[in-house]
Amino acid sequence: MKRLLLFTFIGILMFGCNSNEKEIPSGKMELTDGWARHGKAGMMSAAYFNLTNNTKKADTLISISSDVTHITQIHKSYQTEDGLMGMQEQAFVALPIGKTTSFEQGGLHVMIIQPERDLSDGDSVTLTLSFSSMDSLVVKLPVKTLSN
Amino acid sequence: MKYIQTILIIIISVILFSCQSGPKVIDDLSDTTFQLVNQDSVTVSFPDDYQGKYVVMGFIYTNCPDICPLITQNLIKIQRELGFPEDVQFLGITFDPERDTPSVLSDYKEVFKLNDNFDFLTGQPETVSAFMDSVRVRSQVSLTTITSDGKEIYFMNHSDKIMVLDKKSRVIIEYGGSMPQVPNLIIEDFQSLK
Ligand SMILES: [Cu+2]
Repeated sequence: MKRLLLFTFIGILMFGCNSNEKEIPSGKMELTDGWARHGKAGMMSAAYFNLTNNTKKADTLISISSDVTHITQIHKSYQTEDGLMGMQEQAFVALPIGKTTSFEQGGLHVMIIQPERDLSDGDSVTLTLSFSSMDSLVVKLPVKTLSN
Repeated sequence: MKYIQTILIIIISVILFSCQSGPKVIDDLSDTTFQLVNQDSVTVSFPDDYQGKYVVMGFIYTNCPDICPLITQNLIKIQRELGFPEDVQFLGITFDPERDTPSVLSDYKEVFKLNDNFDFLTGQPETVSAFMDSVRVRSQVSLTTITSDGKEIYFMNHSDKIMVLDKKSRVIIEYGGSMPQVPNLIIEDFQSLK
C-alpha cells in the first residue's frame, strides 16, 4: 500500500516535470515557410509550405482552392518503377498530431493549374485549405523566383 | 604461377587506365544532326551549331511545375557557379513540342530571367522524338485534368537527366537532373576537365 502511494507520487512528479518541459501546443493548424512559384497566366505554378498539426486531434487535408485559378490539386512527385519522374494526385494528406508535413520541391506540392493572372515577384496567392475536422485555413503566400 | 598472372593483370589494367586520356565518353552525338528551333524561332542544328563549346543540357516540359523547375534551377546554378563561361552553352530541351512552342519557351525563359547562353529548344514532334531517343530520354502522358472551359490538360512521366557534351559533341557526363547535389558534382567534373 505504501509502495503504491510512493509510485503514484513519483508518477505525478514525473508527469508534472514532463509537461513543463514540453512545448505547449498552440491548438492550431500552423502553416509556415509558404511560397508560390513565379509564372505567367496560363502556365503552371505550384505552392509549397510546412503544415504542422498543433491541434489535439489527428486531421486530414482534403482539398485546397486558390484565388488565382479554378483548378488547384494536391500532387506528389515520385519515381515510377521504370525510373521516370511523374506526379500523382493525392485525394487527401494525413496530418498526425504534432507532426509537420512538408510540401516541398520534388515531393508534395499544390498544383496551381493555369493561373488566370501572371504570378510575379511581389505578388501573392491566397490558398484555402480544407480539412476533414477543423475549419478551413486561409493563407496568403508570396510569389518567389527561385533559382538556387 | 597464378600469383604472377594476377600481378600481370594488375599491371596491364594500370597501364590501360592511365592511357585513357580525358573523361569516359558515354555517347557520341556528332554523327547525327537534328533541326530544332529555339525560343526566338531561330533554327538550330543540333549538335553542329555547338561544336567547339561544351553543352550542359536538361530535358523538360513547361507544364511541369515541380520536377522540371528543379532541373532548370540546377542548370542555372551550374552556369552561375562556373561564372557564366562563354564556351559553355546551356540548353533546356522540351519533350513536349506540341505544347512547348517557341513563344511558350520564350515566356518560360523570361520567367526564369535567363541570359544569352541559355536557350530552350523545341522542334517538329517527329524530330524531337528522334532526338530524345538519341539521348535516351523517355516521356509518356500520365494523368489528365479537365479545365473549367472543358479543355484537357495532360501531365507526363519523364526521364530526369542533365547531360554534358564536350567540344566534340560527345556525352561525357550524365546525372539525374533534379537532385540537389547535381550542380556540385558537375562543377567538380568541370574543374577536373579544365
Ligand atoms: Cu504536380
